[in-house]
Amino acid sequence: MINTLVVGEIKDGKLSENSFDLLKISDKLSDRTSLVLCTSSQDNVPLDDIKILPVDFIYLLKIPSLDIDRGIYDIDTYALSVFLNSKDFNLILFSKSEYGSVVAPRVAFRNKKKYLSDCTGISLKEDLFLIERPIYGGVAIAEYQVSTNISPVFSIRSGLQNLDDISNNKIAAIEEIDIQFNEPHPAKMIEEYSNDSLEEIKLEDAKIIVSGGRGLGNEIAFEELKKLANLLGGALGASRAACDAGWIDHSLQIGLTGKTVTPDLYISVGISGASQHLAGCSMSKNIVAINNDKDANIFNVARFGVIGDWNQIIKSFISSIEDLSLK
Amino acid sequence: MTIEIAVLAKQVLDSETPSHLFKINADSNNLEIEDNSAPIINGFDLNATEAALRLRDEGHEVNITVIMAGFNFVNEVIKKTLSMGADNLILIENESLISCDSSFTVEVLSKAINKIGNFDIILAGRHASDFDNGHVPIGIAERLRLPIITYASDIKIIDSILRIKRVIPSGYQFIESKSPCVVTVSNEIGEPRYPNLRGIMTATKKQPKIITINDLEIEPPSEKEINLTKVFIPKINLDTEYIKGDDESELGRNLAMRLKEEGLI
Ligand SMILES: Cc1cc2nc3c(=O)[nH]c(=O)nc-3n(C[C@H](O)[C@H](O)[C@H](O)COP(=O)(O)OP(=O)(O)OC[C@H]3O[C@@H](n4cnc5c(N)ncnc54)[C@H](O)[C@@H]3O)c2cc1C
Repeated sequence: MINTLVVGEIKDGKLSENSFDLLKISDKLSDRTSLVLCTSSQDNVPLDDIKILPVDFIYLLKIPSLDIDRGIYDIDTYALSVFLNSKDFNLILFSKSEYGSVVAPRVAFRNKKKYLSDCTGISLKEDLFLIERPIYGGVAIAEYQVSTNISPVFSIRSGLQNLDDISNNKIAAIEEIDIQFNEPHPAKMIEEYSNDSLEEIKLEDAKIIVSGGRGLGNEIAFEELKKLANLLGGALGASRAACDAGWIDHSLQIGLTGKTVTPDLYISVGISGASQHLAGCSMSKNIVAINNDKDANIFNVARFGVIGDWNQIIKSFISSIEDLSLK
Repeated sequence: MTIEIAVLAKQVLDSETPSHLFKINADSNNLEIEDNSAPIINGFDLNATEAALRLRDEGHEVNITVIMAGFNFVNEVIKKTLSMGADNLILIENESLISCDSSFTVEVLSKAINKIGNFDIILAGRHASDFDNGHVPIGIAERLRLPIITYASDIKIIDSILRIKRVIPSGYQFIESKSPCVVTVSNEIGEPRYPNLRGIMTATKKQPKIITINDLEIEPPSEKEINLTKVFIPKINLDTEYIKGDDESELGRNLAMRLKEEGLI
């Protein structure tokens, strides 16, 4: 019997999309699914929405000190570790969000559990978990076998396609657990700044993304792409090379170490298609590649390819769209 | 007072090599590069070395010790951090250190850090670009019970308190930490410096110090709890439809029409 714990995240008053995906994965794999949430007194947990999901148990860890410092997740790590000490699970799932990338390995090492990050496939064969995860930025895929007896911790890549829809006829039991954090706490968050502006469409939510790379050659070129993105009602993204060059803010970086996006249309301009970049965008429904090198790797994942100099192509692309939308 | 900085660095295959040059080595169940090009120091670890050197540039008295755990070290490669300006290099070589289960690496590096001495700051890259896991520095922090601050893009020391700018998906945070602590560094910190001639000369003369796992009184793991069973290079076979046109203007126009036709814009 597989008894799985999903470590959930609350975003904007809702269970995050990634956490929801974890529940779907767990539902397929396990006999029993529990969800644990670390909450401060200010968190608004949408319990009515959550308890009708395919979850058997919901554990709400109530941690007053989370109000004070959530910065580097010392308190979340502590609370989850205390919780895990009191319960037995065969499998602990995090999503490979920023939260999961930090808290999952911390919890795993603190509780002496084995850990694999950024898994893109997970299934069960007798008493083994079969895991698939990309390595070398996605150049290759590695397959692992991990015994269900050692209750491993995995983080799962977000945006995986083809997750079955779930039908549910259970109502979860809810347990609240109070946890006091009195450990020494030598590192604290002092300030947090957000680059998200309200008017703009978030990359993660965008249906259309126009993304630029080193091939654009300079900062000013991004204004042209921005214009195109606005025209299409989409968002602007970039490769790491363009961000590292200082042409555009790093928060717009797409890829293995940037954002993972899944738009309907991803228009890449002057991007070579390195595996680390594709790690963040290859799950887009339709990729358009504009590149003057016919052998560029990006064409291998593109549904539509345009070989040529981006500058003139984009100018005429923009004016054609303006014409088309007037009709 | 001298600030003792450890920088953890890993020798890896260059994962930015064009993907068609990678092939599978069936014996080691790992990747290799067709033209046998030299490995590199993991890029983020060079960012970490850069972060340490910048503290020196800012006037702090620092002693930088690079610690590398791995196997089959290449002499010219491992000296890179010395030629950038690091003071000491320590090598721990053992075949089990390239296993996919990093708990052994965590144990080895934690014990080495304890044995070598009193580090004020332990820096590492945010992850290694071969297995892309990013859990060794985090594991070390947990084992040594030190604060762990990930994804640093700037590190300042003010009155012996570290002030770290930490990159998060929505922007950034400022974290203040007492030392000792573990900090992982991201590429947002900026390009690692190129070694200058003097640096290269100094590095040629310096000999790395070797520590063995016997020195650390550690046995390699006898039983594997995580088994890497297969590595393969996925084939992507998408039928790309190339937009036709006599010049760039026509290409742009035809692309717009084609996407409109498909209802994509
Ligand atoms: C551990 C690790 C993590 C990484 N994480 C990320 C990540 O998250 N995101 C990411 O993007 N990268 C990441 N990278 C970097 C990645 O490997 C590539 O170096 C990077 O994606 C290259 O960016 P690029 O395609 O813009 O630049 P390049 O590879 O230099 O490509 C530029 C392209 O522009 C084309 N071009 C040039 N001029 C023109 C023109 N006039 N018109 C049209 N096309 C033109 C060229 O043909 C070329 O194909 C990571 C690397 C490592 C090692």
